[in-house]
Amino acid sequence: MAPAAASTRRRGGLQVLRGLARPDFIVGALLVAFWAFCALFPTVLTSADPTRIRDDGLTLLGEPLPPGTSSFLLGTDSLGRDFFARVVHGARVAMIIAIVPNALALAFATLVGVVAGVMRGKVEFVLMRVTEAIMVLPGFMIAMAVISTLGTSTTVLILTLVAFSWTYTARVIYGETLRLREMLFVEAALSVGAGRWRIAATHIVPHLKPLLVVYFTMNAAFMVLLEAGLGFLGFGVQPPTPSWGLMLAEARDQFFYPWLILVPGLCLASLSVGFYLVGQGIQNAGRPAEKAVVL
Amino acid sequence: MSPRIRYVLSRIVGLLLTLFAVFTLTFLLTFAVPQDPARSVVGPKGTAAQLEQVREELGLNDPILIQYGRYLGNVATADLGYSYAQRRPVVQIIGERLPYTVVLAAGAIAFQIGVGIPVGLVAAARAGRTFDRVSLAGSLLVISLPGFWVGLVLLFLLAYTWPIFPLGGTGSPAALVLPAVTLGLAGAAWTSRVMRTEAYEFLRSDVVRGLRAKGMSPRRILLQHTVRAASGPVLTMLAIDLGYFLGGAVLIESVFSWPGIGLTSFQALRQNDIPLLMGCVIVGSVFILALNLFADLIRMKVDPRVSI
Repeated sequence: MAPAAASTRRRGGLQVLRGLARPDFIVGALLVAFWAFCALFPTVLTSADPTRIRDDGLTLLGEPLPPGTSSFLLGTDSLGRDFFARVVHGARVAMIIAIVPNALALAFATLVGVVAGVMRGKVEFVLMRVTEAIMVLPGFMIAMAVISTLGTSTTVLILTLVAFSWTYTARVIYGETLRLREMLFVEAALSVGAGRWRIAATHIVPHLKPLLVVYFTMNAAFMVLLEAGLGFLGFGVQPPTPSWGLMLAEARDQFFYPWLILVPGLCLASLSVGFYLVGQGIQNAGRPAEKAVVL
Repeated sequence: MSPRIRYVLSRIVGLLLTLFAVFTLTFLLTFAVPQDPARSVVGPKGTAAQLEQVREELGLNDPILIQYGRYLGNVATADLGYSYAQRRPVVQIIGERLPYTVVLAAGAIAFQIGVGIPVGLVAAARAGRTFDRVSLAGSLLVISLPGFWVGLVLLFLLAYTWPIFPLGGTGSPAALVLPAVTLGLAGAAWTSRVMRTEAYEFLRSDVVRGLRAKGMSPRRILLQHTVRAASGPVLTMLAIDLGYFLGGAVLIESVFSWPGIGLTSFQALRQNDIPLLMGCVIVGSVFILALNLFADLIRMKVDPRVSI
């Protein structure tokens, strides 16, 4: 029995890998990997200090230098800082935001969704009504208000991002838990006397794994965009830390210097496209291709 | 009482409970702010006696529960208090700003319908072919773009470099185009994908085979039957989006200096004008909640199988 089971499992793994070997997933993975590399080892790509205001960073009229000027690959920003260094170092904030609040929100969503789905009754009712109530709040407005009230520290920022992003995922996980608890293997576990929490831990949560992976990657893109939006209005990471949202905020009226607007936006877009492509690739792996309908 | 009416009533009760939660949250926010409201009214030069007088007038010396009760009573009677910065009723300010948000939301939804539905429909009819692939890739790209950045780039290209549209302002219909397109862009992408999925399902059904067998033209099947079959989820989505747009598009309004509820809330926050900010949050929540309820009712109306 054992070798047969092992070989099935191996074949299953191979199938998933083959399902992932599609151009869109590979492009997505490369984009994410590139920015992860920038976040981890920014100094490999640039030795310049992203926060240092350079004496040679502005023209005689005090204007930023365009891309390609002397030693500045992407020119300088309106304070005369090396823009390439700022862009590369900005990946770190983006990656932290894509991972930390995202993982916390996913963990919280799983907790709420699974507990509501397993407990049923009053607990289920209260948990899901609260989830729905938070879901329909004007989140962005309240997030701004909370951050400006409690201060713009990274902890507050991360907790606010968590508070306004777990609800949708919790609903999905709740739905999936309801589906799983009707499965035969749950019935089997119940019939041999397994308790509710044992079933949740050993039968339900492990089956949620593929779903969690997909939502982690998709939500990563959402988190990066949300933080950039808050940063654009001054409620994100604070200066002089290089962050793409903040760079856009500093550049918003600088139509004379379009690279200051274009570059950070393209960085944001490429990272979030990367996450979406990875998520979608995982979701579609193993799913048969759709056939065209002939009308 | 029929189950349907009971369902609607229970939803309305739920809506009122959520609103109550929103009001409580906004009330608590005012206490979390490290700022004395009386000081905001009196100004930095006010004397201690003036300060005390204003505190008495605003009821700030009362116990917190009394203040809370009074606040709930005021909100229930559409009295949202006085703006510290502008020194006039919040309701009046919101009344002036709301029409801008409504116009912008309507424009964005119109764009969403005008682009999303046809693209999704054609993509479903051409599933797997070039148009389908391109529209899928395009919608993915659009969804991944930061909306406010799209706004900046559109302004740079179509208002600054090639001045087709005005850089800002609200005076002409042309001024609405860029903000509405920016706001509706991601929604149009989502709409096209939902439309495509729904239409694809329907086109593979026996209903379509029957219609074809009776000799109905593909065009008519698409425009008449497929649109109707897919309308449930699409309308639901549009209603929910409309709610969020009416709730204030803070970022987009701020990029285009569009004086709606979203920009108002941002300005209120910048000026520490807590009553105005609370007013914006409350009005925004009411819109989002109401349109969410409306979306559920549409879903129930279009698809009676939706469980009650």
